[in-house]
Order: sequence, then structure tokens, then C-alpha cells
Amino acid sequence: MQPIRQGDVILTPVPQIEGEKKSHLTLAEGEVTGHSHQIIEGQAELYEKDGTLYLRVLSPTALLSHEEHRAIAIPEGNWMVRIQREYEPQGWRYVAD
Amino acid sequence: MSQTKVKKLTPAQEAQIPVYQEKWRAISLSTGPIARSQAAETIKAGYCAIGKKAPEIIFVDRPYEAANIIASHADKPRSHLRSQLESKLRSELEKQLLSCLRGQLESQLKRQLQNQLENELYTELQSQLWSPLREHLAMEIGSKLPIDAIGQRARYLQYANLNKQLDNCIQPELWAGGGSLLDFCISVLNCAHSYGKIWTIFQSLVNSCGWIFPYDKVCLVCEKPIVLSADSNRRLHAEAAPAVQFADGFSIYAYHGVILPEWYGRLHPHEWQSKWLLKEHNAEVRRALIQGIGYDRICQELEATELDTWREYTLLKIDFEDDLDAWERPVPVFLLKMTCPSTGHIHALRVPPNMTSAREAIRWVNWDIDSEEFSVQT
Repeated sequence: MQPIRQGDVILTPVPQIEGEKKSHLTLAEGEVTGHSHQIIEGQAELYEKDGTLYLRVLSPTALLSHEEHRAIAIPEGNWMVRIQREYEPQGWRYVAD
Repeated sequence: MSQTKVKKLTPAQEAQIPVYQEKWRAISLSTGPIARSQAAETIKAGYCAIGKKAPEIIFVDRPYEAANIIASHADKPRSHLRSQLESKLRSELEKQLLSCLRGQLESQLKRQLQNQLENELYTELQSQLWSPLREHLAMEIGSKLPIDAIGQRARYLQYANLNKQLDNCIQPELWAGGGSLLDFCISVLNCAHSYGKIWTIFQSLVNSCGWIFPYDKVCLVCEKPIVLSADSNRRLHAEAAPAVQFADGFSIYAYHGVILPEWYGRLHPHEWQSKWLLKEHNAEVRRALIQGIGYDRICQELEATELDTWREYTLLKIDFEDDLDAWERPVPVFLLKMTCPSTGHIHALRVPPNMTSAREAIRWVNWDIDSEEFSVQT
């Protein structure tokens, strides 16, 4: 499987998932728009380990939606959720919206 | 009730869809002050519909004040309201006043028509307007809570508890989406229903109340904002003025759906300064600044040099003397301009100053994944 990107959210395939299961399926939420990247169809679970989210898609695909980006059918499997980064003189920070 | 399901709209019925959208949009955007006696009667009727006694009704000027009352009582073991905080009635009221009637009306429509009307009447009004406002109010509540002797942790727990209370909040302006669907089914399609009284309460509630926090014996009812301004896409928007303002002066500024800090929002976009882009940390606020100022003006004012372009990405270099490295030497700012393939909006992200191409820069932003490696990007 290849990586997938929806706006500032990047999904990369991983062999397995560990961490604490979350009670929601929101991968990222915009502070100033209220928009969110979330799974709205299909079976999936979200986990968190050391501040990183992991998505497990259990159905053949699960639909990742966002108010401003085209929805993407995420294939079954394990995915790491990463947010794009940007440079700052001290190093880098996650893109915040 | 009729057993024949409505399969398709006539042209005359189709023509009524925008009329009902507009009617309920106007209700959703209506401003205060609310008629408190009508609001109180409606709340009592709503409680009666779910088999509850009329509650004590407390009117407040805005949601933050309601949250403050809840927060102050949550810490007092003997408080009358504290014992109520678990008795959240939102879902019961929503089921009785909205879902049951909606279910009965929709059962008279063919599935395809249900989907069409939901998309055109319900989702359209639900979508853009109110979720950013709610986020902002929740953040405001969190940021203004007093820090006690235990410090941040106590504040965080209090915030988490308050957020749970926000889940118990009815936003009548969001119910307006449902209202347009119900109204269209009843008034245009003449769908039969057995909820005449409920439909009256529903309409009165959406018309006469701001946010509602319903508990077993107490119900907090907020005033509607006195200013509420949206763009043609129904996103919160105003230029050089608040997009939302409550009676006590509390204001929220927004630019085409993006909540802005007051120092940007109170100025007209033609007064916005290009150099703000280089210090603004929030990517969406930055995107709004780019939209408001205009890319050409930004390049001109910042004297930006286009170093390289690849697909929808352009690498820019700006000599910005405010930014100094560890040795106090000016550091040039390298920005990657990106045009979103979904929205056409222009975004800009800062990238390391050793980047030499736009492709290398977007690879760095994407954690060293080259654009060609993605199976999908939207």
C-alpha cells in the first residue's frame, strides 16, 4: 500500500498498531474552522500511542471525509496518521489549523 | 396516513426547495434579543412533551456565561445545579421534538427522494455555519477558566467536564436544518403526521431560543447573538466588524468561515499587512490572510523571489530581517506556496532555508515522502 494525503493529514501504512483505543474517528480537527478529517463510512478504529494516532480499517475501505477536501476511500489495513510539518528557526512544528 | 410513498417531486415542488432553504436560513441567522416569555413557555412545553415537570429557567446573555454558571456549580458539593449535571436531557428532547416527527414524515418518501431532500435542505443548512463558532466558544470557555492552586491540571479537568456539558447543549440554529426538511414535507408535499403539537413546539423553540442547556430541574437558555453575519456560502464572515456579537459586547471575528484573532478581524483586508504572514502560526488563518491580501500584493510587499515551481508548488525566498538565527544574523524566509487541488485556495508553509526546489520542499513538508509516492492526494 502507498501513502495517502488529504490536506495536511498523511496516512502511511504500518505493519501493526499499538496504543490506546479512542472513542471517536476524528483524525484531525481545525481549531479556527471547526472542520475535521474523519471516518464517516466503513468500519474503523483509532488508536493513540505517544501522541501519534493510528487508524485500523477493518472493512474493505473506510471513507475519510473533510468539509473542503474530496473524500478518500482508505483501504483495509493499519495506518499511521501524521500531520504535515513546517519549518521554524528552532526546528519544526506540526502544521496547525 | 397515506400508504403511497412520494417518489418524485413535481417541477412546482422542486421550485419550492430554495424557498424553504431561505426561510429556515433566515431563522437560523436570526438575532436577539429573544422574547423571553415565549422562550420560557416553549421550554416548559418541550419538557412536558418528554414527561418532565417545568424546570427553573435561567436566562443568560451568552454561552460563556452559561458555562461559567455550570462550572461554578460543578465544584460545590451542595449545589442544587451540581446534582443536575448528570441529568442531561438533550437527546430526549431531540428524539421527541425532532427525530420522531422526521422519521414519520420520511417514511412517506421513497429512499432516493429522502436522500435528495436531506442533501438539499438538511445538510446544506447544517454544514458550515455553526461548528467553528461552537469550537471557538469552547476554547474561550477553556482559556478563561481560573487556574486554582493545583494549576493547569485542575483547569484541564474542569474544561473536559465543561465540554461534556457542551455535548448536552441544544443549538436551535442547527435544528433549523431539520426544520426546513420537516416544513417542506408538511407544507409542500402534504405528508401526514400525528405530531401537530410537537411541530408547533419545535418551530417555536428554533425561533425563540438561543443555545439551551437542559437538565432535569434547571434549564439554562442563552440569548441569541445581536450580530450574526455570514457570506454567500453561509460561512461566518464580516470585514472590519464582528461576524458574531453578543449583547454584552463579546465578539467573534471571521473571514469566510475562518475564525480570526480580533487584531486582524477588526481591520479591513486591504489594511492587512503582508509581513503578518511570516509570524502567524495557524495555517488556516495564514490562508485567510493570503486570500484577503492577495498573492500578488504579498509578493510585491515582501519582495518575494520565486526560486522554483513544480506542479502546484512554488518555492519563494523572502529577506525578512526580523528573523534572526542563534548568532543574531538575519535568516531568509523560505515559503512554499501551494494551491490546494480541492479548493483552489493558496496556502503557504515555511520550509528550511536550505531547500533548492519546490519538489524537495513539499517532500520535506510531507515527512520525506515524495509526491509521486502518494496513491491519492486531495
